[in-house]
Amino acid sequence: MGCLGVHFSIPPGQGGQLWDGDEAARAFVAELKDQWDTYYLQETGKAWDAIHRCLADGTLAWAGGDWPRNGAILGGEPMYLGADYIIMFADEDDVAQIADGLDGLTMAWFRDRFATLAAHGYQGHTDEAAFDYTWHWFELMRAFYRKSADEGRRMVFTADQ
Amino acid sequence: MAVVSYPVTHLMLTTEDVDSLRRLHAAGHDLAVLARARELDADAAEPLRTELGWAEIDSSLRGYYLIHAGESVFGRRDFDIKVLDAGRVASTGAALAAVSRDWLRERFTERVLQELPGPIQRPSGPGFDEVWARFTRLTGFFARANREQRPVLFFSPSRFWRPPRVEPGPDGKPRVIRPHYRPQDYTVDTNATRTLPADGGSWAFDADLDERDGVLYSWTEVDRFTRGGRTWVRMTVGSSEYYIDVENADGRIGRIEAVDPLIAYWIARRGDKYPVVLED
Repeated sequence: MGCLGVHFSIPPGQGGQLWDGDEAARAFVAELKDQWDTYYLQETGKAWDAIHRCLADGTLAWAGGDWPRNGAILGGEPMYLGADYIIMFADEDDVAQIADGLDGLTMAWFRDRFATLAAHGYQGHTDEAAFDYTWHWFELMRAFYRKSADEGRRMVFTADQ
Repeated sequence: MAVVSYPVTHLMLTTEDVDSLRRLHAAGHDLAVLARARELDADAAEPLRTELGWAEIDSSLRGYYLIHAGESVFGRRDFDIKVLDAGRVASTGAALAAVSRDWLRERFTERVLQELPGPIQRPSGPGFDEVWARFTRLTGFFARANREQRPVLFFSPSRFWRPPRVEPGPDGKPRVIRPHYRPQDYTVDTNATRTLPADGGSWAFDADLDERDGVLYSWTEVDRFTRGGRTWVRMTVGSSEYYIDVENADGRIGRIEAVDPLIAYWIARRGDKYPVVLED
């Protein structure tokens, strides 16, 4: 199944390979996936697309919307420039800011944003079941950011396209 | 009691190690006991670490064989640190050696696999083969320790909830000391939900929440939201940090679901009134 999003939290000081080019970045992510340490990863299924749109400006643009809310999915440093994959990196300071930025968001706010997605070109479902699915993954992702921020960790987000 | 896995370490000690731990404990230096236990753990040549399967082994043996016995050398409730002298090691080893695979399977089936009363079931754990493999490692460890006449240290974070505490920081201002996230600390205790209806309530929803005889009277509402077109109430009980979601299904209690431990952690953290420091 394609287009599945995963956040990996990594210790400070790790992730240097992400700056060594596309191949090294893919290899680094492949290693994280091989390890599949469920304590330090959080899946977002296919919901990452809608989550990012809700947190940003309704689009999938990397720079859309306001920091730090828009940083949770696509707002860090893009580390892979191929079209087949997304690898984003956020350092420990970014992770702390993003966690703080997500903490105050309510379901009502998220629901309002979700209702506007179709107008911004989102082609997925926007019915109640789709909202429940998106909110479910958002809540887990937000909690994962809090845990990672509490532990002073960095974040790598990946999704295949 | 919920069967939720948690890490347990058994280490072989020397009599000097035991004396040192006893002395520190007798002098009230619990932090030093903890530090020493960690040091011994880090330096141990052949520590036996059992996380997956420990709770199942414990549940299966409880009441038949005493595997938690030993002399406590730690006064706080967030860790369980016990010393088993050579005599206790011998009796524990003998007891474990007497347990057959069939006998353990029977207890495992009765105590771990059976459906619990109430709407929340225990989280899925390892199957019997995995538990038996862990158990035989434990048996082997005690047999070795007994042959070598070595005392043993039992070292584990508390199996119970480890509450955060507020204490002054170096600057004199209050801060919250909270253990690192561990799913077990935020997992619903199935004992607490035994009396909740598994097949829906019979009273009016609000009566079950608000009236003294209502099944949810002792629970505290922390949030109310709509999901799947229905109202859900998120609740916690006492001073715990786990949560359940209760569905209002046409004016009666409908489904009751456990909130994911990671989300429970987030909710708990949102409630912290002071800066938080994490500890192991």
